[in-house]
Amino acid sequence: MRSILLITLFSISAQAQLTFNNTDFKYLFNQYRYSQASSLPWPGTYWPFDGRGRGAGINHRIQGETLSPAQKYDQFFGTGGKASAWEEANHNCDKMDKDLQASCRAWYGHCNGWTGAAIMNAEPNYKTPITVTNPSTNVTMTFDYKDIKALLSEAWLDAYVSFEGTGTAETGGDWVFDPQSTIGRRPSTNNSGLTNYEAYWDVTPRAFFFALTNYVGALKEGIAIDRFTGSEIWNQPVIAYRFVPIQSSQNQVIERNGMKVYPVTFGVKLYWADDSVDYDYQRTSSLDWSVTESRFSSDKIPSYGFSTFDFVSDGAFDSRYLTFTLFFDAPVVTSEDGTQIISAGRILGDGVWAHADPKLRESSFALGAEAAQTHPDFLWRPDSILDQAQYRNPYIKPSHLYRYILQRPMN
Amino acid sequence: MSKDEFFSELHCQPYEFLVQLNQINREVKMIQFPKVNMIAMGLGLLTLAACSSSPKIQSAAQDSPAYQAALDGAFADLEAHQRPRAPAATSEEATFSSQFQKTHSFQVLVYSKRGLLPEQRKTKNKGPLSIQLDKTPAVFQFRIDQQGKCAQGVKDGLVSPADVDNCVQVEIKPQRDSEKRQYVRVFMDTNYTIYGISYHDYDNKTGKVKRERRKMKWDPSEPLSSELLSLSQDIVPLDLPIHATNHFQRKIGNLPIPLGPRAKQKCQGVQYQHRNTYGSFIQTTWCESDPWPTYVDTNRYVAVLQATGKAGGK
Repeated sequence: MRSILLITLFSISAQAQLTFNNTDFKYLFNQYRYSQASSLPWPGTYWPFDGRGRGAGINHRIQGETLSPAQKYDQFFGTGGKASAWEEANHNCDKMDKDLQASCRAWYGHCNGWTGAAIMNAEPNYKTPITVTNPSTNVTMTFDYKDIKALLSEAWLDAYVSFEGTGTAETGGDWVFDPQSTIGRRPSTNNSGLTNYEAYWDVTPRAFFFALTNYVGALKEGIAIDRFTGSEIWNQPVIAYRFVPIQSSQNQVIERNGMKVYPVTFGVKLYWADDSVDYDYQRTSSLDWSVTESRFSSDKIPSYGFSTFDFVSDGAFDSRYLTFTLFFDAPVVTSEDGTQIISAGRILGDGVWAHADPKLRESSFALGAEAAQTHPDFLWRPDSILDQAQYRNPYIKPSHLYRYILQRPMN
Repeated sequence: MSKDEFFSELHCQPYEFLVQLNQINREVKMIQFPKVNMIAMGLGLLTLAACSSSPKIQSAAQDSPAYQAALDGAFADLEAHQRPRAPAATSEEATFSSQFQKTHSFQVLVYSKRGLLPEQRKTKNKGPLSIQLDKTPAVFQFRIDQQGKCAQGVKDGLVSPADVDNCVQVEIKPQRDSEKRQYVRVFMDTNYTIYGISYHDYDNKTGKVKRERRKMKWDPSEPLSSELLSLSQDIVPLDLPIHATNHFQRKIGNLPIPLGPRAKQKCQGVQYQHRNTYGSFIQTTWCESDPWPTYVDTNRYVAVLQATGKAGGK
């Protein structure tokens, strides 16, 4: 507990809802040691800018299809091909500066749009395409799950979001591990008011714990992570998490000037929907994925880094195992199996990610030499679509997509 | 059995297997196995050990700089928490406190920040999000009851009767809520140290007005944080630093107020930087003539203090 809610009383509480404003550590751990979003964010391609010769972005014509999602949209709304033309001209690696083209072919695409769409919209049904007629153009068109995912991924490219963490310019190097190093002490480049060191190591373990347990735990909502701590941005929607049982063997106390601090190390498995799938990807074994199902999620502690115990065979979801230490002002007493906290003090400070220790990183198979794929670089959650296009294809109108094709409210 | 099949049966990747193998090797040295079927037994043991043992949750080494820095932060936090409730320690704080005691109301304008995702995966020096500030602020009315001795706070168990003499009640309402059904009450002393908060809201989604009320007794060493409170969808501008603790503070000379009706007015005062419970960074600018932070910049909003009404006058 972070000390604030020493006493929380719900005196008159008609339909009192749990909200994200809970920082009661014991309560959050006990209630939400593991949880998942009630509407599971879905896997899907990130509609790469490199269209492999079949059209860029959402103008990609999937094998066996005659029209791209953007072309279907164009025909349905009678735009004269503007949406597909814009996509081809802008979301296209060939149109990038030369020095960006190699990176573009490797990983540029719509993954932030896909992430927002996957969190905020139920997965389109694979077997039930939508056939609609536009009363203005009198065009009847069938949009299947691939088209809908594509158009949603485009629509959610521009969104208002809430976020935690600053992101930073990660160049790697010793400063990442040493807060007292010259570079580590310098102000970060993103005007966050933090030093380079602080900016690199946010999201802090404390904020991470609260974000997971409040959003995915209490609210059962998906959140997004930039899972790539390094310079690239890999937005992925988190579907679930699981804290492994606390180990009693780590009972420790650190004393300084008569004050005592109790460190406890946590292991957490993070599950997210994957975007490294084909355009026409369909889930199979993951269709009934649940964090409570032992075939999908367990309390087993994997080796540090990527989890190999918790996975699905159809590639829908990916997982990572992270460990971090939080400091408390009183012992954290747990049940024998470590799944319930009997008593705990309050969290002190921000905590420390285990991989902040270079020795541990070097010994880790999965992490390699670069401080890149470790803790999330930032967390965010889409609030609503921004109607005005900034990065989105301006000829894809979210309001039109929802009203005329999906036939439901936008937000 | 091929290597892949073997690893597949273990449900472990080769690296994990090797780590476990090292552990098993150490154990094997201590046990005298019969030579017969040694390999099969070893494989069986490997399977058991590799897949059913429970390895330790790894933490950073305690001698690593990162661990030490985090530990320093924890001790600093602990020290701040253990510091007793004390009178304001600096002249600036005394000034604020003096202004606060003369004030009966003021308004705070809140400009929400909207985070916009950047173009996907495009920049190496990423600022992850661009920020837009809402052009039209939400207005919050703050009313301060200097005389009531926090009677409601005492009744609610948030304020000790021993503390009532220096206790004021601050009631905060969003102005746009014409029916004024939502509000927050903060019970605090005139040095801005919080005793407790009560939070009042009504759910009228169903047509039936249902009252929701929460009470929170506050740890006096904890900075007040807007992220812990909300009135429906509104951000309540309640981020306050804690004076006289480890929050960074610097004096400012002629700093212009950047927003609102007082924009470009310059003031002298103090600037604080601190992190709230979630680790979010808060910057507070406090002009010495003001009873409440003049300008607060968080990752969710910018708040600007409007002109205040003084106690005893209208």
